[in-house]
Amino acid sequence: MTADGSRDSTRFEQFARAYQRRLYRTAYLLCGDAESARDLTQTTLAKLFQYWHRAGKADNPAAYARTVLTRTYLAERRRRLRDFLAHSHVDAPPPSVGPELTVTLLTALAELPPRARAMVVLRYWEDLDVRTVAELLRCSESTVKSQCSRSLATLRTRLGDPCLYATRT
Amino acid sequence: MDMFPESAPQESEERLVREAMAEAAEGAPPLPDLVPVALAVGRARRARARAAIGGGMVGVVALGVFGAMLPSWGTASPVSARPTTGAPAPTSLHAGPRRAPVHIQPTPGESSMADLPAAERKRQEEFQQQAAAVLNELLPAAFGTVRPVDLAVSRYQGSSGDHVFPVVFSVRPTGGLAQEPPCQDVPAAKYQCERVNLMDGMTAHAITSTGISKGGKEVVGVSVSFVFKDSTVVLSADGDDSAAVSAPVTADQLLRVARDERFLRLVRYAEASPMEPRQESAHGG
Repeated sequence: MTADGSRDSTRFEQFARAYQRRLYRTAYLLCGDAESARDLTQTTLAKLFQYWHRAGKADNPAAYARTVLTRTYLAERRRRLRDFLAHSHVDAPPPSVGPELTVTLLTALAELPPRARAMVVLRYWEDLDVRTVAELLRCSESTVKSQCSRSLATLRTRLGDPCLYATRT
Repeated sequence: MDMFPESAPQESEERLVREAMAEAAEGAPPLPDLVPVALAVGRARRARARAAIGGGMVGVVALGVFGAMLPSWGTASPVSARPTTGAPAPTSLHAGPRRAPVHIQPTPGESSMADLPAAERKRQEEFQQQAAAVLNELLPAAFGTVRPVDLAVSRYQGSSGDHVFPVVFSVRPTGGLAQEPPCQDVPAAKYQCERVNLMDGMTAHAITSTGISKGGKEVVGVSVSFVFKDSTVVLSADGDDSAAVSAPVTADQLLRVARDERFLRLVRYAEASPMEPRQESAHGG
């Protein structure tokens, strides 16, 4: 390995070790189960390393990684549908254990189409603004707003009265 | 007009969802260190990409032969095919005007044709020109002008008025593992699959899938896929998602495209001289 290649790997390792947990959490909200989230995070990190010559020079490698993660998730969902594996994955497996709110949330998220789920996670977990989400998902800002609005309504129905959870936080 | 302002009544819902997500994410099971495997897999992906490009260089040599096999695409009909003696100069491969490729900026995680070595890039661009001309002839007029997209050899785009219709024409090697996937409807996903005879005992899957666009409108896309030797061939046409307009083609019409000899010549060339990376199982998501 050349000196440049070695430095490349070192820089990637530093970034990946610092950021893998964050990526995994986002993946967990997208996938709904730990195993799929680990696979998605692993694939994302591998892709990042493959293109590290570009990703490492990005203004914000963390944002770059988040974009890779989201698009890998959506591409994989499309591939599954096309491969007819979708019928067994349309409804994500319910989380086996966890606090009531988490179980309810992950079940509700599983009912959203993958793209809508990604919008909600990016908007309310990653705390990205509407414009950034629209750019990341290559759609209009109004699409993001309308999808998020509908998804919020769905989630609210599932999660119930906010007051029920108020004492938890 | 903004139909969906993020108004104050949403705030409590948003807060609830944010808190629930934070709680769920914090409660995710422990994560082992993924970096060593990511490095190994990433290196393997780099090596495979280099190998694919190397393999593609062989196809550059074959381009002359391919060109000799092809009719004049722009005005092509079986009768109007040019004589096939002698390899034509590259410029003579196009009977019609060159179609300016649609530029799409590659985004994180995406490679583009600009990343290819010059010779391989030229080969793929030539192929795209041929394919765009054939698709332009064979797809319904409502697709408008079909142009290559410079992101990948499999990407094309029809545009008519304000509407843009993404088209994928992919011939992807499988390394001898080509298998016809099951063909089943998925009503919950508004996904219909029909197994049909393509020709000479070859079968294809004609798929119609419906997505929901903004405003809750349904947008229909269609695709045809089949196994050709050791490759999987996919021809798909999607609707204009932002305008909520379905692809202006039916599965039957797409099948007619796939049966056309001009289309099949492209398939034969792409199968013999692959331009796309080998299909592999992807995990995650």
